[in-house]
Amino acid sequence: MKQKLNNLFKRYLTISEDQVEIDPTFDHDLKTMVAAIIPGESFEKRLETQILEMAAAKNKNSTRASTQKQAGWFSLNTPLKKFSLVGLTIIVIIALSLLVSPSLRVMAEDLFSFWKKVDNQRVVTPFPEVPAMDPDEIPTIVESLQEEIKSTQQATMENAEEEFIIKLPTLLPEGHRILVVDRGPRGNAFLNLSKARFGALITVTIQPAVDVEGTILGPEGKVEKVTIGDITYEYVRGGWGIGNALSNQMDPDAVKDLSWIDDYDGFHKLRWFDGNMNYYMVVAGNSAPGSDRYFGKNDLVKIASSFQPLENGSRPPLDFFEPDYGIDEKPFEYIKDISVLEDLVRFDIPEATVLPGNFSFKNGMPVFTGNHVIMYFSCTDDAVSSEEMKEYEFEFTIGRYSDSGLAKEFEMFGGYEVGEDAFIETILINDREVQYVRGGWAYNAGVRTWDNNRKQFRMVWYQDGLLYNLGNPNVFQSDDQGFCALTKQDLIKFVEGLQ
Amino acid sequence: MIEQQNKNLLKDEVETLDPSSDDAIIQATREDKTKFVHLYRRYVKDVYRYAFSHLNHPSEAEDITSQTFLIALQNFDQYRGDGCFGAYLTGIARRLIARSFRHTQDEWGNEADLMLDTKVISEELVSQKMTLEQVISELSTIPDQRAEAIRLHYFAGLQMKEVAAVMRKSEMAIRMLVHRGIVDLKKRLVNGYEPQGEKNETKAK
Repeated sequence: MKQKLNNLFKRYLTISEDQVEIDPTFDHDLKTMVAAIIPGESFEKRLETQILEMAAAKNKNSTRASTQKQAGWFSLNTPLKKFSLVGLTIIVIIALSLLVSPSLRVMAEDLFSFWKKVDNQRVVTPFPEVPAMDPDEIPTIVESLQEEIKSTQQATMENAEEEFIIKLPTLLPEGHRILVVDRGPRGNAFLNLSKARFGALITVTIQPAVDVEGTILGPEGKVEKVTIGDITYEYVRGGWGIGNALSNQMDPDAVKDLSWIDDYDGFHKLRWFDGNMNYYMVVAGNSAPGSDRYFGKNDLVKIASSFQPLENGSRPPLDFFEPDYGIDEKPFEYIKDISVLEDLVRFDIPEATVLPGNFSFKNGMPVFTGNHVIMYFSCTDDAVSSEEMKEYEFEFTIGRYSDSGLAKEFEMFGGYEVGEDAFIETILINDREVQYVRGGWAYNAGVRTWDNNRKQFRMVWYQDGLLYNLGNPNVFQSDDQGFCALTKQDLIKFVEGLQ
Repeated sequence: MIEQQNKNLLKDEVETLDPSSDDAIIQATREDKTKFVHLYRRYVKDVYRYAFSHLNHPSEAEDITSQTFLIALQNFDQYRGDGCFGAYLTGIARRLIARSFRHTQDEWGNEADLMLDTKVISEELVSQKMTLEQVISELSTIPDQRAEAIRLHYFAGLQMKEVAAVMRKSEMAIRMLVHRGIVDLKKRLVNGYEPQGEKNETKAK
């Protein structure tokens, strides 16, 4: 019997394709019959509509992510209509980060396309407070997200029996809470662990580990690792270029042309892998260790290592701790020696041989891995008041964008917004055209109004692949700048004196 | 708004997309997810037919079809573009169906599938007796892998090599499975032939 079977196998294992030609009549009949199976027309249309809606939503999410990637902020003038809590939180994070460091914001707004004239007056919609969700709803949402992730993963992956557990924090800094547990734009879980409108924002994105396989959190050498038990936590402070601060688990190839900023407006990130899931925590606070909006490595690891799964369908108990606010972490230091600064950028910084009035070089920092530099020139007017010493400053930025990826990022901004009444003056200085605008935006009761008489100015020119930008975005209208006054003539002389 | 999008898409379809090429649509979908609707239109019937062949019930087949396309769209960025998109969709549908039935994947002996039955069946007799309901019904009585190969080839509209990719077998083995499955079907359709225990016997091998 065994021999007989062996003979059969041998024979048929070497059979040719012709020998299994399918009976053409049956083939035809069956195909004809199957062709008659047609889904209901209403079903097809309904599903098509559903697909289009979902696709449009995905496009929107993708555009939003792309906008963040390229520009890093949303226009304050965009009416907030119906944002999800996730979207809202992201917007608030970005907005807060911009408020923390106006220098980066202004730089990004101003470069590339110089000017964009807009209405003199616009309503500025304030950011609404993120409402806290009912804690009793959290387990249901977590279970639903776990089920969705599991379902999606099992349908597209081979390891169909794997579990995808979403854990929640059991330890948070005093004053924080689980504000939101929501479905993220890509079907991930999204946690907001913040203090509503004020304070540092802490968010966590939880997704299948396989989705971020091979990605990196930051440049090698910047990422610190802490291992507790079986889990290694990766911590980094900073972000990739403008606008990529929120998407820091990046493909190594995708960041080749992006540059890293060590001090990205108080952005800190921590990621870890637990089971089949990846946890990515982003904190948007400020850049000063020791302040109550600065959460450093110790605090973040403490939160991260407290994550626990649901217990019998209930939220794990939540406790609070007093953070150390990164008190032992090294503050970000601006560079006070201009020659040191010059060594860190990829072009020659012109020497300012003529400085306005009583101003002098204060400090500066290279950004975008040396493609740009921001320098601050300040004037200390201790004569303004015997009780209060005042400091005024203007900033001088130089950006190399001819051969960097930054041009694309700046294109998003469409130029520096000025009111339609703004007067853009072109001045010829040392045979180069320099554009000058005096005035600025005044904010009052949710309305932004362009004012030609504000004490702000901006002077921009482009030369040999470098974009130069002079401005004083932080000037206060009430400031008396007598001793530290900056006139147009002062600025022209400054530009003339650059060598 | 959706209607307008539909109109725009139809216009796009005519103007920019090569209807013969999945690659062009996939590329366009990477840029604009609403272009996925072209893939949907192309494959919705195949996915539905395949689901129907398993479930023999319109609304259940619709459920699987919906889930298949929504999952495919949700995970579109993960699609690597290797192989036919129809096969990718069918793979998703297949897992969904398996899960809905809580089927265990039977490991049928490959050698058994290679043994050809040479019994001749009258073609005329088959044509006269074959109805869709019978075919689907009888598919559930023949060995699973043969039935699955027939479903994927005839109902999902996949080429033999695409069926091979989905079932992770050689194209030759798939031809054998389809051929053998058709022989089994013919036997049952003509004679109501249902050899007792065949399925289990084959399984046991």
